[in-house]
Amino acid sequence: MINVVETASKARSPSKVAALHANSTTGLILENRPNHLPSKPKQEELKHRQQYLQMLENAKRKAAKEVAIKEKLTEEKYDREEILRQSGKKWIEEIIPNWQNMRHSSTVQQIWWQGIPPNIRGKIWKLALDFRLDISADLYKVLVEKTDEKFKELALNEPQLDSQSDSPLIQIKLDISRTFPNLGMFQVGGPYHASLFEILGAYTQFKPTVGYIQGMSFLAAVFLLNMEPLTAFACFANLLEKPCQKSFYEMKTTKMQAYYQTFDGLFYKNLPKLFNHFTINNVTPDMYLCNWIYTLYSHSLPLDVTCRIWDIVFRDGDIFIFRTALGILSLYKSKLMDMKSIQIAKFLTKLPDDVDSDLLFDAINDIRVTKNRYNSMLLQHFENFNCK
Amino acid sequence: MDEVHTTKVVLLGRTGSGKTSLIVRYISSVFSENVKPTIGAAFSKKTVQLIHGEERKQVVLAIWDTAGDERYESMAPLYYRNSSAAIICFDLADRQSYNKVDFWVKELVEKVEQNCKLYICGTKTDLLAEYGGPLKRAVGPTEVMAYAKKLNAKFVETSSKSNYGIDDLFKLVAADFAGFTLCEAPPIEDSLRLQEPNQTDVNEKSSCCF
Repeated sequence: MINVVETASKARSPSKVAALHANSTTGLILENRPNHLPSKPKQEELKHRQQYLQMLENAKRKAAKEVAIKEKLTEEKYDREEILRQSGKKWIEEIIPNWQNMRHSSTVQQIWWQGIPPNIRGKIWKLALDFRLDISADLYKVLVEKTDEKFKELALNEPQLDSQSDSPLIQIKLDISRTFPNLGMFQVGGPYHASLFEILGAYTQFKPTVGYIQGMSFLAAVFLLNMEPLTAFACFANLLEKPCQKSFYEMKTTKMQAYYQTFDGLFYKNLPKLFNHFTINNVTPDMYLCNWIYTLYSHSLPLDVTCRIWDIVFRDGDIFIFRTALGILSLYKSKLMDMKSIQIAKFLTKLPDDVDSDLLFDAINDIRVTKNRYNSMLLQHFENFNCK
Repeated sequence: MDEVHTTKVVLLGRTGSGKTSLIVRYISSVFSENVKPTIGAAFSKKTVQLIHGEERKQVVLAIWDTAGDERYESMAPLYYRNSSAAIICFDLADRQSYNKVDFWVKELVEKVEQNCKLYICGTKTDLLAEYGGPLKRAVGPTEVMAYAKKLNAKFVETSSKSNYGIDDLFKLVAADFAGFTLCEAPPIEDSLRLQEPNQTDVNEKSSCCF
């Protein structure tokens, strides 16, 4: 009789983990046949013994394979951390002090492509965003105070604060708890709940014509995870001045169409087969690219991958938003070719959680779009739509 | 082999009215207090089996979830075009959420060319005092019923938290699309069931069960 018995792993030192892992997680133990049962014919017993050994062998092989994969991933992660540690030193000691001279050099561009180390990410983002809007600490303080006053007024006037008002501040309150809900950072009682409200509230005072639009909470949240509130606000406000984000957040519908058509042109050029597949299935950019642009991928990709994309969006500008989109489509090309309309749209607005950022960046790297081409296409579409 | 039909269903309604939660409950059978706001649109698909005597049909529901933020309204036509059914959601405890229903009804009636069936869905019954929750109804059921009747729309009530009425709502949508009649009334308060509109506006005499 064969019983499957779970035994606890007793690994002590990491070097022995692999060896123990294969034997100890799911052990198959061959027990003697209970006495009250008639004994098996010899031949059958032999056959069962062989089957048992075979099963054991298969289980071992499978476990060993899994361990090897895990080890490789750990190794890669370690390598990546090592690269980031090395480049962190370079960023701090060489690049940041000579920012204007070095930022465009090929070595820096290359290091940049590999991803900015998380501990200095905020600093580089701020430098790379080339602030057009200068936001002082005093200005921010005033904006936050104004927000607080407005919010207190609301609380006084409307006893049923929950969802009874059209004020953007109420909407912000509602959305903050729904921003990266899995992180637990922005929900009531979370460490960044108050600062996220402050940033978004301050923006409604800073730019009342734009106010608050859903999607903003994700952008501001990603900044807030990488820097302190004042800088996060300045970065957020300046990001919304970039041409693509500005067109979308100001709801310039004809400009949005021009961006979609530019994207379609690049899509056709780079991935013609997939483009045709999308056309046949009536999948259009407004179904998925819209979400990617509004939240700069933070709504549909894991946070670490999002941050790596933002690194290069701030290096290269809007063009990288479109290269990333094409990179995603290219990475999942064969999967997408097997899907039909609604499945495609569903897949693209909720991308797999385990997307490998290195593979994605390899795919993006293969997408050929020059700045000239992008700019001239966009300009052409703007002219066609009579905007600007 | 069953006959297979595909139909597009769009969800509209004010932000926070529970559109995404409704779909998540229907598709994944779970409820979460904090779902991300929908930016642009989100998509799901589910197949409903309909059996009617000897006749069997499969209806594939292509469900389009939309952003509730009013600022995104200019984009809405991109998402509701070609829908054969629209579920307009409102939070039963929020008057403003209900007020938005009429906006979407008018928008659809004016701008959608093909026949688009309307469903008005009051959400979050679990929050209402009559179901043991903390809040009062913001709008009386008779008012909604009268409004729905005028539009030839159907009114249902749901709770994504306690999984109330959701499967039935989508079954109703699928059955209407396939021209089937349900033998069970869709979820609605007992007092209202007698005048439930779908029993009167469908000609078919026979009914079917799931």
